[in-house]
Amino acid sequence: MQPFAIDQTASDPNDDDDSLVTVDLIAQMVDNLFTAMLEMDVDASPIAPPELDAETLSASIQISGERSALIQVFASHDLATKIATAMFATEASDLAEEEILDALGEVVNVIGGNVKGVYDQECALSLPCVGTIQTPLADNAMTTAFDLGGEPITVLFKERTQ
Amino acid sequence: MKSLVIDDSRAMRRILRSIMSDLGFDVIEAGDGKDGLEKFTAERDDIEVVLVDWNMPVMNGLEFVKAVRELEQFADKKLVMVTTETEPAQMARALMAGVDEFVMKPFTKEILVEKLKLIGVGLNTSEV
Repeated sequence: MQPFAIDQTASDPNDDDDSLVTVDLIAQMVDNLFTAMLEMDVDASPIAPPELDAETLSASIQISGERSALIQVFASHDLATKIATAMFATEASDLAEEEILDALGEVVNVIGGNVKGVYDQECALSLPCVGTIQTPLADNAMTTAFDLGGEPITVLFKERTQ
Repeated sequence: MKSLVIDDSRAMRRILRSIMSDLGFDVIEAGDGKDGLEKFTAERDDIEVVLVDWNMPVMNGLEFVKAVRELEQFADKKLVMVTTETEPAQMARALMAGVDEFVMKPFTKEILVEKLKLIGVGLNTSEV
């Protein structure tokens, strides 16, 4: 299976420009989501993003308007199942596949909404889109990962110029 | 005592259903504002509080709130926006439209309970 190219170090190409979104801010959003809302064991210290393969699940959402951005979250199916288990307070065996995808979609929806909130400008948030990775990842994106219960969850942030 | 949960995310509806059920509410679900408005109209006498997302297809949460507040007989209904929207300008728009309170995602059960108490929504306190 062909892995998707991804920089293996936590990177922040937006360090040098006027982006309001940093790795630290993403880490804080991830920590709030998984610790406070889902009561999952997350380490908000960034780790090297793992290699992603075609079976990795991807949830993406876009911000458009005076600022535009793409946010994607990547997780293995097993990790997405754990997230859904925590989100729905149920056993993995009771989950339908679409519920597992919904859970990952809600993760990117919350992070995307939090990013949008950082922009004090007129913007709109798209609806989340979830599936397996179908297209090459965005170039020059800020990509970081976090340890979520022993497995990596990857967050990609790409601000687009108008 | 009923609550209406309007969110296009099944995940979020399920989370809110679980919390509101624990608080003693019978929960009605809707997947967008239009669906929500139909269910709200049908069950309006029994619904005490509506938890509505902002960002939804078909009819968004702000449009739902405006539609409800246009009708004088629904003036006493409590509308809580459960959303990732945090910009002051957006929040001001929602308050002007008639939202009673905001709950920001991500949230905990305790935060939701606190917000419901603030607007005087009756809770089954043994579960709080």
